[in-house]
Amino acid sequence: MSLSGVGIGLRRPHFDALADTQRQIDWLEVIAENYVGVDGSARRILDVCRERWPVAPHGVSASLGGPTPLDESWARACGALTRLLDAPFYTEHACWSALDGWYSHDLLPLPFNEAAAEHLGRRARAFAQYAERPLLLENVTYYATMPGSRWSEGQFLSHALAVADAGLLLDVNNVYVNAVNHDEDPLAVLEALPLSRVRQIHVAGHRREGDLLLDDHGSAVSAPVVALLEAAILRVGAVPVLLEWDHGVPPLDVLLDEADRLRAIVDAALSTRALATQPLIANAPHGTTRDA
Amino acid sequence: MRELDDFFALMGKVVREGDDGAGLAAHLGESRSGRARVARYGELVRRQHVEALENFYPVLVAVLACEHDGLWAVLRDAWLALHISPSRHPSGISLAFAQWLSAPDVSSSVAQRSVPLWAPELAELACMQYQVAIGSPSPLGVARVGSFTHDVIATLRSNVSVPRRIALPRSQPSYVLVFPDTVTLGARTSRLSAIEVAVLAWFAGEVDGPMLEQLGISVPLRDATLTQLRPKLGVARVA
Repeated sequence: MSLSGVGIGLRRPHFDALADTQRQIDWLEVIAENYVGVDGSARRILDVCRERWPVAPHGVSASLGGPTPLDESWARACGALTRLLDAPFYTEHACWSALDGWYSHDLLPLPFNEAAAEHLGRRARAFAQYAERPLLLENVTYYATMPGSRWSEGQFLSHALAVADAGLLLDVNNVYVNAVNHDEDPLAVLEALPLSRVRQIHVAGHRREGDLLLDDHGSAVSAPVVALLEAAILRVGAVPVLLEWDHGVPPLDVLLDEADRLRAIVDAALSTRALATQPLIANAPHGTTRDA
Repeated sequence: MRELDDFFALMGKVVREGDDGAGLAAHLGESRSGRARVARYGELVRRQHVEALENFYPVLVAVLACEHDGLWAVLRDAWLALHISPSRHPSGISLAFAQWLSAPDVSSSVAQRSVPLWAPELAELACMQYQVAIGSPSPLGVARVGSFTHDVIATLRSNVSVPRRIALPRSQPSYVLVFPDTVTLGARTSRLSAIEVAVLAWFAGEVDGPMLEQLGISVPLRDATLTQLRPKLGVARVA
């Protein structure tokens, strides 16, 4: 099963409306922690959804960059979910989130240095081996540069993904939020990331709180993030895009309106990209244009 | 790796305990973003845990806010100070909170504030609803039976968006069946009579047939009661 277009996250407030909707939904993303080892209602709605749409898993708790020993059984369970959904890859975050049996339930940044990138990359590679599925790692927000950082985020992720042999789940909203919070140019931050590894894109809303932009997934995608999404599509081409909206979740129709808006933007960017890369006269015999 | 190990140990104090990051800065240097930004992660993590609790217990939070000014914040903060987050799913925080709240010494651990008896019962009922919704196995298959000293069902059915209409749980012993809702895919509740509780205990294998008869429940009454209850049990009893 392949993913394409603009998907949405499967969220409980939409369970009823999803069953009835006839609107376009390109694919659904599920939070793995809500479905691994779970029976009951959540599992039933998952079964209903996968009959109608491609569904892909996204994890939030593997703590791939963390100090706690990697949970092999969790990785295997995530792999089993990925196979059940027939999804092309499992996705997680380039961060840490657990310490000595305590879970932060927040995605915590790592110091940008070689040791942390190696550590993250090795554990991500091991996770993918246990899961027996390809892995994508998502760039996370960092509201502070962690002490011990000696690299840029782009250097850090490039090294970690190379060690892991993993793809990049490019969160465009995180790129924008990080750039603003650290007084950097969003496009420059984007271009410094290992874009050749991008296999999927996330977009979401954010809000300002004091001196920071917070990645809260609580609103429509802002104009600067839409512009950055266009820039990303022009550079990486057609990859599946996922609209995240987790706080103040709107009615399904509002969410799908936003997905429609983003789909039109992505399609336009792909058309522009196709025009820019297309030869002036396709399949012209060598020398024809010069002779004409 | 030594530096990375130190980072996790010292940043762990920031995110788990709300440390100000001075130790981290002294050992690994100041963040380019400033120490205050690093320390902010303690507050961000705390918010995640508060949100997990308050999403799980909307009625408990609302009724405590209505009837016991400030008690929810006292309970919440006392719980969060224990730094217990045992599961990769945020519901683990809430399930562990219910266990803590039901401990006999919890009142003394929250600055001598008296915790009403119905508070841990409301929490327990919310946990049962969650466990039924996710299909967690029980002696009845998926459905669960709870025994309470208060009429917590009426309160749990309150509309939390209208706090003044939340019914304070009355002191009234009650048995509650929590069972799968095939329409909303969540969990429903219904009151149980003493006979129904006894029959379910027999169905779960906790009581044998002769004991039921000693309670005055004949085989025809047992079977008729079970026939009425069976649609609510959702799935067959786990062998």
